[in-house]
Amino acid sequence: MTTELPVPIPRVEIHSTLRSAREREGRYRLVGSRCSSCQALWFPRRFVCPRCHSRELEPYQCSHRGTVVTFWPDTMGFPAIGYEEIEDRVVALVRLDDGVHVITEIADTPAGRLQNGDRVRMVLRRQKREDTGNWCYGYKFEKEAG
Amino acid sequence: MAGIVAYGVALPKRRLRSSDIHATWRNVAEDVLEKFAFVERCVPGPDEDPITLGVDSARRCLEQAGREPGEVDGLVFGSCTNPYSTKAAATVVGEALGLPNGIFSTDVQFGGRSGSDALTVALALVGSGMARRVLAVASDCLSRHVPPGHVYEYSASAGAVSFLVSAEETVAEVEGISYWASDRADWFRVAGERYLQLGGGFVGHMSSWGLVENLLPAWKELVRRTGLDPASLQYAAVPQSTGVMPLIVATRLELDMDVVLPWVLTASVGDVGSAGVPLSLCHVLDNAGPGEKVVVLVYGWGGGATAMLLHTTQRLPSLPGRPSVMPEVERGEYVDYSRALKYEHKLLRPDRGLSGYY
Repeated sequence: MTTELPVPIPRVEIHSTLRSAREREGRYRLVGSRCSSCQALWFPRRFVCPRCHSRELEPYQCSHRGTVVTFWPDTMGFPAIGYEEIEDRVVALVRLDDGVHVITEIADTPAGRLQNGDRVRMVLRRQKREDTGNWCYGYKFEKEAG
Repeated sequence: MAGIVAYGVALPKRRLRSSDIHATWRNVAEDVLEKFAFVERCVPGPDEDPITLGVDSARRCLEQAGREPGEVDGLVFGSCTNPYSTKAAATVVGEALGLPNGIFSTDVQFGGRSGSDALTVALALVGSGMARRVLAVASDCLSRHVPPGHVYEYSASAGAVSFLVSAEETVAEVEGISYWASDRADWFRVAGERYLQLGGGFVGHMSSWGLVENLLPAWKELVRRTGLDPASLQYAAVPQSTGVMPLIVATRLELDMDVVLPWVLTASVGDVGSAGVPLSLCHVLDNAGPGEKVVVLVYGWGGGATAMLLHTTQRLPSLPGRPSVMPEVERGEYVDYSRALKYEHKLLRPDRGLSGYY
């Protein structure tokens, strides 16, 4: 009997377990950076503020709710590496309630039922496996009911 | 007295009709589907597992309680289908929720009782004064661990329920709790195996030997300890792996069917494993009024039984976000059987693919 879930480990475009562990706060909870001198918000996290070049940045947890600015269905015609099981994959630009923009995947809603301006909330989902075979979790967004 | 402050529910969006499975396998007589209340069940998406569902339910629970993650000082994660055999799921859940790192967090991992045992451990932590607010998460993706073509495939489902437990601001308080545990190999998964196996068969007397032999003594002990009059009961959340199980429990424990059957969700969501009875309890709490008695009866494969008596408080009607169960149950979208097989990773594939094309 099969002893393992047959979820392949991709060979290219692969997450390293070490790197992904360092970046886990961003992937799990949208923790980015806030510049202490100019108050600009950044996601993913930065070490130098791209606006005022200050190196004084502090961790900042972005809002978990936002609005779809634009979205596009994955129309490559063949599945992206590590995403073979997800058909109707939708990628969207989401403006979070605190003004930060993230490019993200929309879970569970095909492009046909999504509109610009839809309210979305962050959910944790399993992403493609890491180079060691470890499960990698990260944010996606889900359309809010109503 | 320790009790439940808030609760959250998360079910996968996808649903599979039993008739679709039956059209493929024809492995049971058609009337069996009706007798066992196999109508439809949840299918976890390819990117969902007990950790993601657990996190989703816990976020909703904290939202309902109006509490920040930093105010929680304990986390107990109960599941029998943890994505890891060795690594804890509770640490992933804790970090994903943003709970403080300096708290007690642990996994409870066995059979269908692990979810409610997470609740028991949380109650113990709060009751003993070791913690102030503890999250108990019950989460399972059973459907990935049932072989294709097995009768249980009609029922095995996925979902998660979370409870915030504290001694303050409770909506349901524990009056009494009793246990009975004896060794019964009715469902098991040997280390390294992926698929669940049956020890006692799926139908007939032996299929419920562990259920009756453990639940009956636990129930009797609860009645003795609390002085409960079973006739005064208004609500009961009971094991519901199949639609027959609640009938067995109600008959053997001499409970009124009206107390048991309205809270059985098998026909809508299937068997949610360790989150099954907690889900039923949430459905009860969605509909109960203040000052009512609720009994929670749990049996976990080979893990013994728990009987718990709760009473609801005056805070329950003003709890925001109610009802929480039926909106999740009713938001389903159907997928076909072949897609469900793909999502549940039951199709053989090379273990190291380059891409979908090569």
